[in-house]
Formats: sequence, C-alpha cells, structure tokens
Amino acid sequence: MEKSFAPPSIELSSVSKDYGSVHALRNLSFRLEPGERCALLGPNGAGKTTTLKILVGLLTPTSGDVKIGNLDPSSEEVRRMMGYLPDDASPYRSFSVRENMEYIGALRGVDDVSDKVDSLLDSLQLREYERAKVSRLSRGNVQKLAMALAIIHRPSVLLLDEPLNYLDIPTQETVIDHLKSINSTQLVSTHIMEVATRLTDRVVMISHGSVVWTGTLDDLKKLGKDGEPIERVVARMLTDAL
Amino acid sequence: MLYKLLKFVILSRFSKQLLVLMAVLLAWALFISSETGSSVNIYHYYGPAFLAFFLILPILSGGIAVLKSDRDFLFTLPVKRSELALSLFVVQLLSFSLIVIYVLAYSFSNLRPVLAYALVDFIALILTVTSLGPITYSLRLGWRILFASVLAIWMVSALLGFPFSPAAIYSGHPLYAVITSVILAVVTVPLAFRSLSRVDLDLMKTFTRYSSSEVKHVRRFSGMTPMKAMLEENFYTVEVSGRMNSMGGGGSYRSGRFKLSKGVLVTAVVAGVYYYLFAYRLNLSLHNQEIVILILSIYSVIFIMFFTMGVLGNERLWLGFMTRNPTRYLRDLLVTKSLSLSALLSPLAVANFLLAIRGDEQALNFGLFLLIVIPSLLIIVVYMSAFLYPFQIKEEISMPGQFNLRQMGTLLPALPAWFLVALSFGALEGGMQLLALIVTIFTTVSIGGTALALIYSKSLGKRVVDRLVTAGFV
Repeated sequence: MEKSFAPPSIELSSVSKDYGSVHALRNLSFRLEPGERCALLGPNGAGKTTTLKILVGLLTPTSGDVKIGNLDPSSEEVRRMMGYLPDDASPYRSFSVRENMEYIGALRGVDDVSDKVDSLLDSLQLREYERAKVSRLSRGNVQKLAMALAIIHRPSVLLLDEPLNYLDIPTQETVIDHLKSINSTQLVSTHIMEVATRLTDRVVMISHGSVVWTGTLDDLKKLGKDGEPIERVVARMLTDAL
Repeated sequence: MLYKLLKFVILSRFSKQLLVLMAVLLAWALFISSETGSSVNIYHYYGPAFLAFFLILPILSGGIAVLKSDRDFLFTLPVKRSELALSLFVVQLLSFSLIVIYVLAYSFSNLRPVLAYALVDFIALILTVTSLGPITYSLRLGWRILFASVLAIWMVSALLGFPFSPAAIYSGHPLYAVITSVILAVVTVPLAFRSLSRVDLDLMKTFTRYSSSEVKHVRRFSGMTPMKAMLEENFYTVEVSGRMNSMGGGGSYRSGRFKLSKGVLVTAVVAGVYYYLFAYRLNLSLHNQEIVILILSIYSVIFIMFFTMGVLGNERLWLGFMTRNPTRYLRDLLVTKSLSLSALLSPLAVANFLLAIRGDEQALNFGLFLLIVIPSLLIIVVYMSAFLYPFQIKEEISMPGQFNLRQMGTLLPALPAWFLVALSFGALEGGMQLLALIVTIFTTVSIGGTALALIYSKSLGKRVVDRLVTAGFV
C-alpha cells in the first residue's frame, strides 16, 4: 500500500565515480536540507546525470557515501519516496497516455490510481491525449507525460534532469506551478540558468565532477558586476574552474 | 559521386569488421558449395521452406535500412535520386539477402546437374528478397500478411509438385523455376527502385498516417497490485516487436500486441491442423516427417529470436527500475514474458507430444523445444543483448544504428540449440533412439537450466542492471 513520507535530506560525501579510466565524479560533496529545492548546474559532461543516477540508487559510487534521509539510496524505502525524471525520458511507446500512467501507478502500489491519473491529466493538460499512443505524441506532450509518471506516487524526493526540455512557454509555467506545489526535496539538474532560477532557490555548480561553487541564487547574483547577466557570471565561474 | 555515396551509405550502416566477416562467410559458403558433392535429400524440403521463410521475413519485419540521420541529413542533400536509390538498394542487399546466399549455397551440391539454372534462379530470388522490404514497408499490416502468405504458399507449392514456383528448382523443374523467379525479379526490382528513390516522401506519409492513431481498447490497471499489473502487461498480453531482419537488427520497427488468450486460441487451431496433417493427411514416411519437423525446429528458433531481441529495447527501465529492486524487476519481467511465450506455444507443443506418442521421436524434441527451449532462449538472448548490444527503441520506422559484430553475437545462443537438435536428428537417422532421447532431454535441461541460472544469479543480474544504466536506459 502507498505510504507518505516527509521530505528527507540528501547528502553526498566525497563521492567519486569512475567509468574505466574516465573520472566522472571526483570527491563530490553537497547537502540538501529536507524540503529544499536546489539546482545542480554545470556544463555538458560535468557529471550531473551521473550524480542523479547515484542518488536514485541505480549506480554505485566508486567511493564515498550517499544518504537520502540517513538511508541508502538503493533501499526499498528510498525507492518508494523517490521520483525520477531522466533527461530525454521516453515512456512506453505502444501504450496510450492513460495506460502508461495507470500501469506505472499500479506497479508503484499507488492507491486510487484512476483518480490520480485523472487529476494529473487535467493539471498537466493531457486530457485530450488520454487515449493517444505515446509514439504519436509531440515531444512536448511526451515530456509532460514523463513528468506525470515521475510524480504519480507523490514522491517526497524528486530528482529531475532538464525537466523543462521541449516544453513551450505556457506549458513550462504549468509544470513549474505543479512542481512547486509538491512537498518534496527537489534536485534539478540543468545547464540552463533560467531553469534553475524558476525552479529552485539554491545552486550547486559542478564542473569536471567536482563542486565549483554552492550558494543561494541571491548570492550568485551578487557575484556579478553591475547589470551583468547571471548567465555570464556562471559562464565566468565555470571557465575559471577549468 | 556515386562511389562516395555508396561508400558512405554502406559504412554508416555496417561496421568494417562486420563487412569483412560477411565477405569471409560468403567465400566459405561458395567454397563449400563447390567442394561438397553430397546428394542429401533434405534440400528437397529445406530449399522451398527456406525460400518461403526468407521471402516473408522482409515483408513482415517491414524492413528498410534507413537511419534517422538519413531523414535529417542525407535526404536533404542535393543527391541524384537514382544514385540514392541504387545505394539504398545495395544496403538492402547486404542486410537482407546475403544470408540467402550463405544458406542456399550449401544446396548447390544437390543442384550440380542444373547449376546454370540454379545460379540464375538464385540471383533472381536474391534480387526479389532485396526488393520486398522497400516495396512493402509502407503497406498496412493486413496487406503485408496477405502478400507474405501468398508468396510463402507459392514457394512451398514446389513441395507438392507445382512446377511454376521459384522453388521448383528443388523438385525437378529447373526451367519453370527460372522463368517464374526471373519474372518475379523483373516485376519487383523496378518497384523497389521506385520506392527507394522516393523513400523520404513515403516515410513522411507513413509517419503522418500513423500520427492520428489512438489505442482502441485502453487497458485499465487501476486497483491492481504491482504483481497483478506486471502479469497483466507481460504475461496476459503478448507484445510482438520487430526491429529485426535477417541480419539480426535494423530495418523498420513494428510492434503489436494481443491478448494471450486470443493468441492461444490461434495456436490451438494451428496445432490442430498441424496434428491432423501429420497424423492423417500428409502420409509422409516417418523419415520425411522427422526431416520436416527438424526444419520447423530450426525456423521456429530464428523466428522467435528475431521477435524477442526487442524485449529490452521496448522496456522503459527508468520507470520499471524505480518500482522495485532493479534485479528483481528484470527477473520478474523476463520470467513473465518467458512463461507467456511458453503458454502461447503450448498447444503446438501438445500436438508434437501426441505425434511423439504415435512414434515420431523428432516430434518429442520439437515439443520440448517449443515448451521449454525457446522460452528459455528468450531469457538468454536478452542477457546477451544487454551485454553485447543494448539499444532502446525511441522511434519507429528507422533502424537503431549501425550493424556490427556485437549485434550478431546476440544470436549465438541459437547455435548450441540448433546443434543439439541436429545431433538428436542425426542419432535418430542412425537408428539410435535412446541416444536421440538423451540428447533431447539434455538440450531441454541444459538450455532451460542456463536460463534459470542467469535469472537467479544476483551478481549477474546486478551487472546487467549496471550495464543497462550506463548504456543510457535510465
């Protein structure tokens, strides 16, 4: 049966991950307080996706320690409280939108799946595509469906990899409102500053698998010169880190 | 320009190592065909059955070897349509037709007295096989099934003595066989060129046509427990997915699903007809009956394997792995799919067991093959493909990527199965019934046991999960 969990903390301590001779993460450490929304910001290849996969419990770090509310990420309890949206997520293509949502809801042991599906269909404006096969949907609607699948069980930890990809501006606003209404600890991986500012309050900036800077968005803005766009500040910091 | 285009189109679809292997296998097949001089009667059955199989395969898999990057880039280039069509035709030839040469070359030893006819017949048939994919890929499934059935019956009619079949070369009608196969090639090749020269437009039409479709009967999972939902999707529903062609991958991707109960009903009817024909109607000698069943065993493995290689490609592991322990999810998924396949094939297995009771020992082998070996091979092939060539299907119509040696490796589990079936057949031929029975039981136990060992090995399961996660499935 479905259980509800209070938002837990997320903590990585000196985490390293190697793929053969490639060092994806090097002594990565940061912490999110319960209920905090934080952006994991970094250029392509910085190690953002690897970090998320470790937090989801699907990759084991080469060294270091990872805790989700003092639990191991691969534990059954963490899996129940976790919602995960990977980059370029693809739902079951031969299923309809509704079948995807009901199937994943049932696999997750969600109570009242049908009601929750109805609610998500309406709030994410997918109602008119309820019976449509996923393979026939636009990329934006596929992304909305993937988001619905990640949150159908009301997760208390939400890990999102580029969640606003492919979405038009009105849909982005809908999704942003929806994510902000969920009581959970959220880590949003992105390389787009705009996404970080709309969805989160704090930034962990990483490059080459290590933390370059961490702080609130206000702190980040203060680092800029007069009128300097925040993107330019970030670009400068990441370039200096190379 | 044509040379550059041809080189680009071929190398973007085949790795160099695979091309070398294909050349070596081709040389070997031709060498064997010129060296062996046996006159094994098996080709009388084997040839037409083989031709029927490989004529219907490109039609049912709807294969054209087109990549997504072709649609995005190649088709937008100012390239002559005739040169583009020729290049794509050569790729079709490499991906669909060379295997016909590999296997049929061995039957040349049987056709020595009519070698000139045989060469013309095979060249015409190879061109036809090459052409069928481009001609039929945009047709609706019903039309493709009809087209494939007519061609299959036409090929197999040679077994019943019909002279105007391209396969009649095996039944003593070389001239008529050549005439019909050449006519077939003359009709199909220009149609294929026409189709390939406008493949970009046709693909767009195919996309547009499919873009309006909705699921007719939406399945409901509400109120189900996780295990019941898993069974509903993977046991009670059979998904047939084909991104497969005779080279083991590529071509367009098709997917369909049906209720297991309906599928069992169909296989039960087929099994009834099969039993009736073998037991009462065909009047085959026991020896010939065993030959036919041996051929059916070999083809059933090929057929099932083509349609199980997409199991992982269709799965959405970023969703499934989050619902329970990933190794347990993988095990539950494969066990339910394997049992579903076993249930689907069970009426055919029963028909074979009944034939075995009537004295056909090869039928016992085939029955166990259908009930245990093939469902076990599904598991083994999925594990092999996870390590060798994991690919996720994110788009229909175009092929997932380049053909390479690793991809071919996923078909390797079929080899020991075939070898053991052939061994059992050989023992029967030699009058060693007990040995044949032992080999049959050994085949079943060893392949079934291998599948079970794979499924219940936690460390291996974890390695498969790691492999899939790092390969981008999650």
